[in-house]
Amino acid sequence: MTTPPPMVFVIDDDQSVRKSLQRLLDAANYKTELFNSAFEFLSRSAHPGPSCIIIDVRMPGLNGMDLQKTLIDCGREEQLVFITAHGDIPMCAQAMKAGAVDFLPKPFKPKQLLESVERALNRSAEQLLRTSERNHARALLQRLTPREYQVMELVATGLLNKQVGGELGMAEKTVKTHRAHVMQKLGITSVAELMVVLQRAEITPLVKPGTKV
Amino acid sequence: MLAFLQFIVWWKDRAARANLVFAVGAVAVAVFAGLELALMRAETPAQFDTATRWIHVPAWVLIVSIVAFVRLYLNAGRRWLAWTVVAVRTLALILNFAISPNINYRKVTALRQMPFLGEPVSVPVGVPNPWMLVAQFSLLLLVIFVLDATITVWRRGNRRQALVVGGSIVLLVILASAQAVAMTWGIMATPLTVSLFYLILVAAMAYELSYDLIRAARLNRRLQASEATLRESEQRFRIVADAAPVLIWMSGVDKLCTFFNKRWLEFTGRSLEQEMGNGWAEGVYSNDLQQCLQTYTEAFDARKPFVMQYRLRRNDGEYRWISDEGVPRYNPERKFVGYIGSCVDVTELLRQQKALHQFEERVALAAEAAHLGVWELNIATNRIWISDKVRELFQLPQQDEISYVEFVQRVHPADRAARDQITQTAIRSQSSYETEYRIVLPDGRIRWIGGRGRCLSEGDGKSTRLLGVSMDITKRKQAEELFELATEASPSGTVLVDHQGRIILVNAHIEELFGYARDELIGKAVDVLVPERFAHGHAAHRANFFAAPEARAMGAGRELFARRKDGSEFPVEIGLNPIQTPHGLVVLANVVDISARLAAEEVARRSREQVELLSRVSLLGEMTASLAHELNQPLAAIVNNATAAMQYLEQGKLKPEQLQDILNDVVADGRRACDVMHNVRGAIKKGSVIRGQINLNDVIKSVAHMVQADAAAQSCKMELHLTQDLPAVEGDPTQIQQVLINLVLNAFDAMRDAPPSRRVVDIATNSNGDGTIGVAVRDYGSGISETTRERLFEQFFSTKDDGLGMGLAIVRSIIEAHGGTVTAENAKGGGARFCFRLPISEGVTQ
Repeated sequence: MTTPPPMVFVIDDDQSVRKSLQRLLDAANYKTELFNSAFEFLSRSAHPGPSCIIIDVRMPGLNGMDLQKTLIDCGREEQLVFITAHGDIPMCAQAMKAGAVDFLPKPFKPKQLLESVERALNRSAEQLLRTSERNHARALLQRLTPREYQVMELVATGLLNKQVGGELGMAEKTVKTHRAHVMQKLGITSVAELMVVLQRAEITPLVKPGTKV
Repeated sequence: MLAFLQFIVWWKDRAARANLVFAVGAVAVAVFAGLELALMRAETPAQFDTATRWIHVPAWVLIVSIVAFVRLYLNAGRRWLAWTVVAVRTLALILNFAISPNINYRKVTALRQMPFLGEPVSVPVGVPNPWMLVAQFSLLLLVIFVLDATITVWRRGNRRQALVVGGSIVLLVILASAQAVAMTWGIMATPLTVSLFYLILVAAMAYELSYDLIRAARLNRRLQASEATLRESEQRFRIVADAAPVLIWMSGVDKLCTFFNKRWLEFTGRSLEQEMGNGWAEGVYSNDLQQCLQTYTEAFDARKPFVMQYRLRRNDGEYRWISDEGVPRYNPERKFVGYIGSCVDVTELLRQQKALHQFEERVALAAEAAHLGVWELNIATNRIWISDKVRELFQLPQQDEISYVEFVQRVHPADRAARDQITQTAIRSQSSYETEYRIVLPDGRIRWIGGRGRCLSEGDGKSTRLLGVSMDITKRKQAEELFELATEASPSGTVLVDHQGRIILVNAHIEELFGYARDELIGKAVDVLVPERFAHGHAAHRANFFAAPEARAMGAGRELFARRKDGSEFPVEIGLNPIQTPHGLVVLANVVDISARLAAEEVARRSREQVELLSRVSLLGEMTASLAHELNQPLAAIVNNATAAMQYLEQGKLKPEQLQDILNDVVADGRRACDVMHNVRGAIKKGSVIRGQINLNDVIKSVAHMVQADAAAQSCKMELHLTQDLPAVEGDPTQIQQVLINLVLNAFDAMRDAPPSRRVVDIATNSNGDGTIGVAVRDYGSGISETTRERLFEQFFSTKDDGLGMGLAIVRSIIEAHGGTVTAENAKGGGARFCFRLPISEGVTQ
């Protein structure tokens, strides 16, 4: 499976800044794409590979913070590096909390920017990997019948077959059968493996109140 | 004979009436004697009766003449007694003729013949008439009268006359009467020889009268001697008359002139012969002649002195006015002998008088017209003449003559002594005076009088008259008082200066300001108040001012300083006001000490500068986003570009064209950063104002650019609606920029809580018809609240938590300094609109 190449997107309304960033990134062997505004960027389809967005906070129309919010709302994974000619602390804090990689006041040290870009791309690559594993795990789990899913959830909480039968109102033997099907369908042999699948699928195991763990 | 003699005397001298009386008396005695003879020769009682009756007529005449003689000659005796004697005797005479046969006898029965001095005479025998007592009573009265007169004369000291005339009359009348009574009553049979006694009486009287004649002869001799003396003195008189400096003439009783002195003849240039008689009249001016002769003859006939004026021809042919004064002259016997007159040439005097008269008339007219009262005081007599106007002024009675004391009594008691001293000084030194004083009118009101006077003396050097004019100066005084009060109350220092630069009046402020006492300044040159270094120029400035006096500020464009008494100086502002007064042009100068004001202005200027600087700094603070953005953008680009170039270089793939490109961009960004810095410096630079022609559209565009970053940070859009081809305004572009930045940043702030879609700032320009250009900055925020609106443009008023409250105050001060106005209002559809208007630059047409 071929991974799409990492891309760095530059969004700045100042043309000379845009142009200089392109040169800097080019010199560091990054592929870049330039946008005059956030709208312009959003009208482009999302890049499937690792992506880093360098964006000026203050811009006419949609500004940097607005774009960040929009991307999160859409569940997109691009990593953001904010640059600003006049940064202020509340803005910075908000951006970092929302998952920005870095917040750099202009004029920044080029090295610092490149490091941030590198970090962002790595994080983007990791993010992409995690996303593909989750998708795989979720696809496996979807193959379970509802009854098997119920048994699997309870087993994942650490209950014994007998306890599961008691919970679900079925015979222990039946529980064993469903459990065998789950193991088979998920391609696993132990409860520990089940826990890994669930973690990859980013599903938190049920914890019934009042039950001892 | 005697009677005739005395009659002659009377005839010659009618005044000698005593002589006439004597004559009458003498005749009466003669008749008396004749009738007595007839009595003696009477042969029948009837004849006797008739003679007796008639004998009473001469008796009456005699008695009357005696009474008259005594009265006239002795000039004595009681008048009533005299008349009583005459009356009683007249009664006796009437009775004598009324009673038959006569008053003496009721009836003569017989005549007796008896011898008398050898001749047989008839003696009556009969019954005496009791009425006889009346005749005898009259004789008694006569004796008493004469006795009384004699005593008077005796007492007067004229004893001889008393003895001779009075004594003889008394004695002889008594004897005659006694004889007649004795005979009539038949006591003594004698013939009537009364005439004898009377003859003696007449002799005595004749003696007395002849004594007078002798005396007259003596007098005559003396008179002749004195006439000789008189002739001599007349000679002397002529010499004196000729030497006299006046023209002298004399005339006789016939009105004709008999003498002219040498002076006269020299004056007329004619000879004495020509002038004699009526010859002098030829020299009299024809028009004056009739009046002249009339005056002369009328006075002459009445024997009265006269004075007349006529024109007389002088030797050079010129008619001169002559004043001719004539008096009647009498000789030592008090006899009128003609006239004597003296003449003086009064032509010059008349001319002077006429001139004086005309002058006085003119003065009087002028005085009347000017409401001046005129009076004249005769110093010697202390009598005063006053014109009607003075009566009106002093409210003195219209008709009565006024004494100087009454006049002076009107003067206010407090001013009387001062006025008196001034007039007395003028009289003593024979000079003029000028004074002002109050008078108290009868109704108690006070009136101010301005008086001028002059003492006029006649040629003898003695002060004789004090001429004065008086006028009502109450109004002026009141005005003066008001003026002084106003001056005193004036908030500034006031100096009144006359055209010679002397100080007439100062108020308390001046004393305070300059440290002089009032008395030290009055009358001094105003230059003492001017610093010495300006004093010379001051005189010239003053001359200029008096040449073209008009109210103005002194020393336009110059800083003025004044000098205190201690020599220190202080800055002043002086206003000059020329005032025309009766004493000439004076200048009212208002002096204001402006040192405090200057200091306050300096403080205000400094604080204004500081506020301005602060506002600029604060504006920069507000603009930090934009500024940082403006600076950091190019800096970031430069750094990026340079780093990229170095990377390319390291990697060995830097192409020359690429390097060129990069360096171009670096330079451009560097320039851009420089421009930003320049702008910042311009905005923060203090004080100096660069005035120039401004195109507001350009300023707005540059501002829109400058605040772009702020707009972006707050997600605001700016929309410009600019009217093309705007005329220019005059002003400082940086300041106008500042105004716009303030307004636009405010607009951004106002929309912080507005939804992003509404965050728009409209900036519009439009050319108003009234010669101004309007700029409107409109936002879509919450607008201006009512409570805010009033204080909107005040300093340190802010609705923002972190606002300094300077922005709009600065906006307003800048706009107003540019001659414009700024307003704020709520716009339709929400939001606030700030508008300012600036006047179109003069002389600039688009």
